[in-house]
Amino acid sequence: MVTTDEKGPLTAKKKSVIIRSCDGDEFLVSESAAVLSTSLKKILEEKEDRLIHLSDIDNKTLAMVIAYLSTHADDGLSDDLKRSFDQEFVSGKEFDVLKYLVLATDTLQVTCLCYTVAKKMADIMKNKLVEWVRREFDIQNDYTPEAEAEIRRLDAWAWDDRQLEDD
Amino acid sequence: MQGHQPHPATPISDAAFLIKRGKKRGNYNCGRCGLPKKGHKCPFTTDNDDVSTTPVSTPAAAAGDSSTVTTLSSASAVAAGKVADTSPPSVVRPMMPASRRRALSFDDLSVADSIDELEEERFDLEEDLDLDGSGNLPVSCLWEVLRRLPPAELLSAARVCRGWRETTRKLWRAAEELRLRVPAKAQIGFVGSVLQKCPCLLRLSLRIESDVDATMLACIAFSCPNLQSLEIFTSNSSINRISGDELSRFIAEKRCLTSLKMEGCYNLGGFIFSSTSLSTLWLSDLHSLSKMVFNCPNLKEISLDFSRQENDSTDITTVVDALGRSCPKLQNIHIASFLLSHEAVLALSAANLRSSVSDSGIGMICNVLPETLSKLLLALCPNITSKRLLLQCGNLESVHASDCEDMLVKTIETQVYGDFAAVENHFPSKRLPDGSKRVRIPYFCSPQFLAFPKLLLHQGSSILHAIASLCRLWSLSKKNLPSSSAIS
Repeated sequence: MVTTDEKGPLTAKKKSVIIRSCDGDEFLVSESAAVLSTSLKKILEEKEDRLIHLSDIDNKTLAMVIAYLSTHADDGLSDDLKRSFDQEFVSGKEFDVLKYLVLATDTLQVTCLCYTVAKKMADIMKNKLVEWVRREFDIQNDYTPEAEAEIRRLDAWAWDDRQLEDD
Repeated sequence: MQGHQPHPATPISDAAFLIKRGKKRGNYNCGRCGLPKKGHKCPFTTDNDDVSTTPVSTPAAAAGDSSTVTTLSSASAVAAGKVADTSPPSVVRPMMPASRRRALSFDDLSVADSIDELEEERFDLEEDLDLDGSGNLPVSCLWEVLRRLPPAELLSAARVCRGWRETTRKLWRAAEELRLRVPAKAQIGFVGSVLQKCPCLLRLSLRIESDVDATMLACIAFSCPNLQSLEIFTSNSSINRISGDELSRFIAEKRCLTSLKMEGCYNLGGFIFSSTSLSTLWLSDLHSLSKMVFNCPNLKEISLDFSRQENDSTDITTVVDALGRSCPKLQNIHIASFLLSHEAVLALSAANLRSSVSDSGIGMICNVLPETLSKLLLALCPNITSKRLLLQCGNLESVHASDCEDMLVKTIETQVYGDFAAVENHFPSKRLPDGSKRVRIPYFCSPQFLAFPKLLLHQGSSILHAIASLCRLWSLSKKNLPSSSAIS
């Protein structure tokens, strides 16, 4: 999934930057899109080099983030369109994908995307069993059974007798 | 140096938080004694303690800081399956936003969500947080996700692992606004246990499905020392046993309280509200109040909604008179009662209330009562201008204007008949002996404007909301209707 610009990375030196994922693929991104990420903006302000290596964002995630940035950098789109794009962007995504996305937005400091994704994750987590959450986040239960029972006793009141889901 | 981008809705402010610059910044509330940190010197603080605090949202700030090299790496990586916060202690942090955020300005929450949504401020997390159990997400990400969970979910999230419990604990501690639904089976002690988690709470909204009494008030008073806004909504099944004395005491003791909204006030009996901070007061389902004293000089908005029961014995006229005399800053008055009469309205205007009901206020009335508003009296309203007035009420039958500028009357005419000018261009209007202008509007057979006989506006100060309620009640029950001739 190499999406390096066909025209060559150096033709638009002032206006674009190359971002390399941890898989080694390079993405050509317009500078107006890149600066929506606070981290990238800082890098671009401080150095001439137009190649930025992201050591912990994979191809798939980076492509999504760049699609998001490009859309939001497009001045031709109205705010309403961008909002509906945001909704479309997170809908139907696997929880795992969202998890990588929220990590990437944290690294790149794309605040609005981070909030959108975190909201989606929180929405998915609603009405889910604790066991589901542990599984999705790959968390080991480090409570003793007694400690967990105590916490359960304290929060049980907040719940109606509604059914929690495990998938 | 600005590694972290604050949310646009929370502008950086409050110089008091600048005390600790750089690697140490002020927590929203003290990590040792739990008291709000603003202007607070914790007796337990040692000089080096705060060095370890790191903002929750800045693992990437570390990456930003290292941006002189080409590689940008976050503090943690899901792929690597391990989490390590590597924020160098020397990074100069930007200030965290310290100003308050309005509810729902952050997320596009649905109405259902907003019922029990928890709103928190960002705040610092301590670096030595046990990250191993936080699910391979850096605390900043986890924070962003967890803060969007409703309170009940957040309570459950503590059960996932110790790392999560620690994060939720800090989330609770940072919370400034809490909207909590209290199920019927919940006991007061459990609600108290939640409230005690959030000592910084400024705004509390409770939707209570169980019975509620003064214990709840005491619990709130104890747990939320800085509370500014309290809303208690009750369900049909729940009984509100709070008495007038108990509520009076609560209001008198809560010196920060500016807004109080309570439903199901059947058992108040009577009250003496004394507060210099209170500016908004909504009480509904009031019934047979023996004594209502408002010693609230800064009260700007009051809504008294009486139960729609025949045996209500409240003396509305006296109440309204007292309101007018003791609350000089009143702007919005909403009184809904079967007992509301012409005399009550006169009592209010006789109290020489100066107020500022404006065009938008009228617009609001029309919006709230689009179907039922049938008569509108605009009296003594100097701030109603012709510029932005918008009357859109299908069933508006009568608008009464007195001592109004010609321009205003013209505007209303335009608003009211605009669409029908082609059909009917004859609008009888005459100047009354008292100088008021009465605009008589012809009867239309339009489905939208079934009848629209009169328009009467006075110039002066205001009693608009009272009138609006009056209008609604007129249409609800015709039996207490003052006749329109009595008004004009």
